[in-house]
Amino acid sequence: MWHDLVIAYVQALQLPNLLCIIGGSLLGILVGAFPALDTAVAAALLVPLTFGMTSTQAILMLTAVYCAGVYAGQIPAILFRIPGSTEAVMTTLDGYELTKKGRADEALGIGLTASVLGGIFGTLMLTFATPPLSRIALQFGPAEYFALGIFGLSALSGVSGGSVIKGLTCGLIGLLLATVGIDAITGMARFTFGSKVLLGGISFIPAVIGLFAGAEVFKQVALGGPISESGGDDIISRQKIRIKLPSLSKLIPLKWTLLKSGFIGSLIGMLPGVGATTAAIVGYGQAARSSKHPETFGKGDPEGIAAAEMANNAAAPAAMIPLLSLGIPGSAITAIILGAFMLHGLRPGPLFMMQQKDLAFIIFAGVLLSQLVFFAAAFAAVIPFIKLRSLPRPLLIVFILSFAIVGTAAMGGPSAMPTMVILGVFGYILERCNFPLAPVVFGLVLGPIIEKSLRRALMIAQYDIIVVLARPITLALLLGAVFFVLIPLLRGMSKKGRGQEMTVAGR
Amino acid sequence: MVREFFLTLIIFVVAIILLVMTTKFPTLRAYDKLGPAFWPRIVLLGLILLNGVWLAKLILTQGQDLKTNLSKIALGNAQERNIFRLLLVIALCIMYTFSMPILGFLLLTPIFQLLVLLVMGTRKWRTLTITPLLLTTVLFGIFIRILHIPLPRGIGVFNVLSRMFY
Repeated sequence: MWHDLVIAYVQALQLPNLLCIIGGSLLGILVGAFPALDTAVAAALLVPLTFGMTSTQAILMLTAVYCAGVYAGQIPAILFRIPGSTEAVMTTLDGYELTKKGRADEALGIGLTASVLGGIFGTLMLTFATPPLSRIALQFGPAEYFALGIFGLSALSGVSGGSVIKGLTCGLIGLLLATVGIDAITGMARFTFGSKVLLGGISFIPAVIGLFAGAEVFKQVALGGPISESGGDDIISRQKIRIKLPSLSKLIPLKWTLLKSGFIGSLIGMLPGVGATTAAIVGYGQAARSSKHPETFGKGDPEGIAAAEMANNAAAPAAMIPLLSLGIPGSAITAIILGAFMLHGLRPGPLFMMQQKDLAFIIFAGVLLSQLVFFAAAFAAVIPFIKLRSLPRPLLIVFILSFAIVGTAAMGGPSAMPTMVILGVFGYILERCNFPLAPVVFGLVLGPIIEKSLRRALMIAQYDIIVVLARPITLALLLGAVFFVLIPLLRGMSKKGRGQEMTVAGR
Repeated sequence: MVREFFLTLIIFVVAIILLVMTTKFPTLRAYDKLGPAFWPRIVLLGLILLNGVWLAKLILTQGQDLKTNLSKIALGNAQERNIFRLLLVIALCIMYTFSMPILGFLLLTPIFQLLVLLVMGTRKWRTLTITPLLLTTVLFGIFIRILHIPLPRGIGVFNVLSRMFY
């Protein structure tokens, strides 16, 4: 196997292949960093162009677009609180807070490092664990997906900002927003109030841009004090930002967080229909729950960025596992890559790993090389965004508002623009009342997975909930969720008890 | 605290209204209890329960504080002096969003940007003219020329005007 791998790396490093990886990575960074652009759309537009390429070059280019796109979403997330791609939504929480504290360079550095480490981790899993992982993926039915969604939702306790009730309320609001539109199982309209616009549901990207970027812009508008026209009127615009890679001494304390998030990302990434965004949520939630200082998460903790970026970037290569070994595309972009495979006369599936072993190994090598390419390219890619950051506040507000609204309009769907603005106002109100925004996103992402899976599982089990819950993976995930929700509560109670004891002793 | 109380109360009331709405969702025999209302009802009951408990706790433990703070809010808060500016920007965003299908992207965008700059206190005529023109050109270049995304052209005369450019 090692011999095959070395040959694959040599092949991937041949100039035409390397140029495809570099081109794909640069395009991925461009579309990933642009809030309105989707890596799946960019890959779809690229497919016809790959017709003149060899199958190896085509697949290398598309996978490079995907991996670099997942990374680049963090750049506007950290600098402007606009997640460039859905996968970067959790990075927004701590990344932007660090920027506000004048530590944007540190946030960009830890984000880039975790992304590359995550990508390498995911590639290693893809290279060495594809057969066993694909067997695990086959074990997942609706009951397991439901339990996975609940497990992801249990991370709410870690991002509730001190009030579990407020966190749960926001999580439920997210779940409720996810029910708007046509019900996927019965085809009936729900909470559309007779509007055709709402039939398609609430689009995720406009909702997230509204909740984070919209709410932040409205907060800036409402800030007291005069607004300078000459620029440099706040701490953010005075910063000299560049990517500052973390030293080894800062990275070593994060080793368990990185390792855990890498595993979580790889495991979730390989499940069809779940994706890197869910991986980031679960990875972040796990890091927050197991941290010795969970209260700092969401307030500018580099560990939060590391956890989210490691998980989502590990999920991206792992999404290739079901594609290559089972022929099942797990997301929009892997479906497009599957299309490219077919266009070039290839058929991924159980026989692919045996019959096209050489190509599979070159793809693994290409995915790893794309991590190194976007690592190098990132230093130049952040420069235009940093320049924008130094604009005076009125100009920055106009710039963000214009890009956010026009970008969501460009994403299509008549509901996109109103969704962005309305959720921007809603996000602002929630923040003014000290309600956390992250749980709303949890609900929006996990709601459809939980609802569909639960209803399907119950229908398969003929409405017997015991049959649904008694499946081993389901039970393990649900018990894990209960355990992780109870831990912070018990920790809080024991702290309270200790506080009371100390007060009594003090008297 | 008062803001939290009002938001919780609004969420509580809206959740009850939406729960009542779910009774009007069609029921399908094929799906028995797992019809379209099944999941929203679970979520709404959760919201009602959580916010009901939270409201009761707020009233019982901090009822007096709520009354005091309520009168303070009625008198006006110095920190909220930019609320008018915020409301104007939100109104502009809503108008921009809903007018774009009628007036089109190209005409409306620079006007929207100019108005936001004015509301934000920009008075330099050079900034007021160059920024909207430059920013709209950049948006036009990226979304329409490079990505070929059909942003709204507007209707009637606005459509004709937009078609001169894209």
